[in-house]
Amino acid sequence: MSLTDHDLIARVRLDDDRHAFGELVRRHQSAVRGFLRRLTGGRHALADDLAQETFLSAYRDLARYRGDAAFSTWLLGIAYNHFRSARRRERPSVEWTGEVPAEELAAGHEAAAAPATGAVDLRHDLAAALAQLPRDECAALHLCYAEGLTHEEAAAALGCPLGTVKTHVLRAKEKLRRLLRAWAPA
Amino acid sequence: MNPLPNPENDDARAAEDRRLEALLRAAAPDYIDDAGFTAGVLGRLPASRAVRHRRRLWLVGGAGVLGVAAAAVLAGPALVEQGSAALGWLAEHGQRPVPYVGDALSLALLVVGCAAAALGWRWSVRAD
Repeated sequence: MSLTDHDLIARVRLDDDRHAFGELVRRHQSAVRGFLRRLTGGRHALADDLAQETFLSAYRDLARYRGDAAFSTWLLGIAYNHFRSARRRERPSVEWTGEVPAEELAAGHEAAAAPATGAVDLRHDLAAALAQLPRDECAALHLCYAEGLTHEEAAAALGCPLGTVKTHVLRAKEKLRRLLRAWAPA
Repeated sequence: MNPLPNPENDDARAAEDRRLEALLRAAAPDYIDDAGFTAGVLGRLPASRAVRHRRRLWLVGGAGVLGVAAAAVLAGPALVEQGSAALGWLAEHGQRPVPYVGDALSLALLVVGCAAAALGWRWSVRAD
């Protein structure tokens, strides 16, 4: 029988059990790295660095985890904080924000304007469209749909009010709808 | 004036919404293979509690000894002389207590040693 996250956390807290912490990392690394890859616009090396920092912070602050949210939600919150810190540090040299220019919104995304065939193309265009969203909206959308979190859980992870998450999701979907207009069924 | 609700438009929008949501769920990133990631994280963890405890004991003990030694060196030959005198006096008078020199020196060295040990402890806690 495999141990639950809470069992593993208890072992780490009580005995400083490295194997237990390793198991927690193995279980959640894909979700954390996937989230950060989405936020960094596919910069895998940077995303993995931030994911490492995320788990190191989680190890240091494990005593603060109260268990009122899922461990994965707590981790994703830490990951988001690391992402925001990195973005603040690198803002002058790297363009992180994916704000969609107004004229592009009006005209529809270029990639979507030329309809491609097949699910792969649609997925590619969706990824391109997601990369253009503001990071807060992209994060909210990813947590709610790719990770299957509720709005409340996403709000807890992102450290913002529930209403803000709902607004982010609504706005993001509206932008995606425009960007992917070419894919809409006739 | 608000336009009248159009059920057809609402249905179309709801369908579009469902389609987009399904698309977003399907676009969730594939499972990312660990490929040494966990090992990398474990390799960067701070030293274990037992190791930190041992290291702290060594630091505190070492700092205490160093503090006492430094205090003795800084006090110079006078301290050695006073110490010798105190030891000689002790040898002469058997178990009788040293009037004040030995006590004062012992106390001073004890204070310095404790202060050094406390500093060592504080430093080791901060280093963790």
